[in-house]
Amino acid sequence: MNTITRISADRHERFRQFLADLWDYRELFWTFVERDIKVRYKQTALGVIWVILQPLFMAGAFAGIFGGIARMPTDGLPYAIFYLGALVSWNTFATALSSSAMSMENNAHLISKIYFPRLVVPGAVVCTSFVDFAIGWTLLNAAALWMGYWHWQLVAVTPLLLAIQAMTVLGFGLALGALNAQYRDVKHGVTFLVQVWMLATPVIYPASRLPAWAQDWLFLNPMAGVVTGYRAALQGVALPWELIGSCALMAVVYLAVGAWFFRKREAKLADIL
Amino acid sequence: MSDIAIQIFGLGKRYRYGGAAPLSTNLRADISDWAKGLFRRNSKGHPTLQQVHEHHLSASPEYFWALKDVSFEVNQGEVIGIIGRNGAGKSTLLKILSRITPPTTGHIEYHGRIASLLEVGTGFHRELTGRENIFLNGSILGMKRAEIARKFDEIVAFAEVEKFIDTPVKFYSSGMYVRLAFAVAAHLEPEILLVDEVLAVGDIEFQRKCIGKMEDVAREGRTVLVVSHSMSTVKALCSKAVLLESGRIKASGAVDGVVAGYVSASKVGAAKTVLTDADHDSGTTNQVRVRSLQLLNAPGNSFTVHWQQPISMVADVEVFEPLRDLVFGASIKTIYDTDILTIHSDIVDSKPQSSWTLEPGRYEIAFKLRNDLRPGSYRLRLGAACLQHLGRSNVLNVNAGTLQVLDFSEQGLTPRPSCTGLVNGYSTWSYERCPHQPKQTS
Repeated sequence: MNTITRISADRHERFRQFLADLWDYRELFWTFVERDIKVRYKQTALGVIWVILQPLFMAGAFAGIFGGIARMPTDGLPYAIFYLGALVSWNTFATALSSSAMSMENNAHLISKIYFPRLVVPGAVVCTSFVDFAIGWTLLNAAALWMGYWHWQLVAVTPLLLAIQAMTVLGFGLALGALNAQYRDVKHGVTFLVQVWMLATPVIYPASRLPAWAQDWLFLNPMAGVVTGYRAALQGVALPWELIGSCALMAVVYLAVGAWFFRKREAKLADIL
Repeated sequence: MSDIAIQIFGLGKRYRYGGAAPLSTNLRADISDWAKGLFRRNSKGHPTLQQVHEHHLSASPEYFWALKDVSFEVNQGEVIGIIGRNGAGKSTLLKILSRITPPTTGHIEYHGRIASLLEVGTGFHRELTGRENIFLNGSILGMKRAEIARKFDEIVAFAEVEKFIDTPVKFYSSGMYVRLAFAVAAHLEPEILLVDEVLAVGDIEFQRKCIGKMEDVAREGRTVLVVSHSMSTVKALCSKAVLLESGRIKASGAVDGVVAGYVSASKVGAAKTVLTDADHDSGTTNQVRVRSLQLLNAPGNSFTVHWQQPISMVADVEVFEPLRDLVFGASIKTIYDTDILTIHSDIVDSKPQSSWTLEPGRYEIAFKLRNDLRPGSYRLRLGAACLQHLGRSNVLNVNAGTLQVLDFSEQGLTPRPSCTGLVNGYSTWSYERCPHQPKQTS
């Protein structure tokens, strides 16, 4: 009836305990997701409407500047759809990346006072970003239907693209979060990273405008596959399976490396935060 | 079913002085270690990165062992007190047991669920309501949601916050906040409970509630580990105790023996505080200054005396101008600045004494005071005044810091917890049956 728990200096023994704990603490995971969602829009007059307004404003601004002024080519999509299609996933990615990078520091008071698998914190942050995504995605579908660009592919490909996005953001968020616990330099670097990453991702411009050599390396950035995938689905053309496939593979690699790095640092967190 | 709740084998924990090293050196050292490791691993016959690291760590004076070779067992249903001075490793042991930080060496095995109360209200969020925080805090402490839902009404009633349960806790008074936080913790049902006495920082009422709760838990047959500075708490709650000193177990066993060992091990010596101009009140003249104050019979090196131990002090005083008809004095106040007593050099044992006349120079001024203070923290002030035909003028008024009265005497006696107040009371009582008794109907 009683479970035996072993606390040990030996890392391999700790790993077995870690897997058991992750399952034991699954309810805490949902509690954190619930907390993050509830807290986010407390004491705001507009509340959840912000989730809808943010991508709408940003897509509007992008369409006005890059479409209206710079005349960016869009592979045949109207500007509003072209930018909304990319920003719904990009915005949730960027928010989740910076907040998971900060998650260890923000929860330092908990980590130094009580035990739970530390993975729960960045995991919950990424999960919370899905809520924003779901609202933005509904908005995207509504806009596509209204403007006549809705295609069944959009719905069909979403789970895969969302999985790629989640694995990438979790992989990077885990590594950056653990690093930020020790070197607070990371916090200042993340803002910069997000900006550069957006420029490196075909958000403002279509992937087709990149030179051929750059397109060959695009798979290193899983978000490029995600954004390009949504746009192809909206256009109703064949999906770029080669790119999406290699991006999915890369996302798995990023997640594995990030989780490995996080595990390596996890135990020390309470001592260095 | 095994009777042992916790087994600790050869536990050790090493820390670096001053926390993590400064960032730049740390990052650079980490990168160079890593590069060296890559190189070393490739060539046979060289130590691995791990070995290099271990060697570097053990040889480096930057590191110290907060715990070393700690092994003991706790049986199910036992209440164990962990005692020792500051820095003896008590809190580190609790942190390892609650899995906040991993041990450097050794391992622990325990049966059942551990809940640790290192503080109350861990994870409370200001913006969330009382209701939401009960679920949040409960989950963080390791309760299942169904369990919290089942105990919800009980928790709310215990905290006495029914009316405000849907108000964000940022609007709570600090008392309500602490009550709610403690109510959640009090409804945990772990097989093993770890408690740090820092928990009992609230008001007297709250401390009593905490201790009462711990007694309840112990009575229910659960295993409790209490870390405490208070010998009377440990003696009241625990059947066994473990005494830590510099990270090692100094003694363990039945509570009375261990507490007695701890008490007799506290050596008596001088403790000194240096006083600066900032400690002197600005309103007084610059004719005289206290340079330092020594407590001659302190157990340990802080301004601490045993319960019932006389206070013997020497002040190092510098006089700059000739002072005539001088009277020195000292006062002891509560931490809320209420005077408890004042003593003067011109009255000794209720008999008037002559005042002093001091020429410029250095003086050592000594005084002894019978100590009837109850355990706790007190403020100590020194002063001096010149008596003149028109009255007295203060020439010295200095804040001499805090005096701690321990909760056990030199002989290891502890005051009864039911005696409250600031000073020990000495009284005699008797009773006698009255000769005229009311007639009783049988």
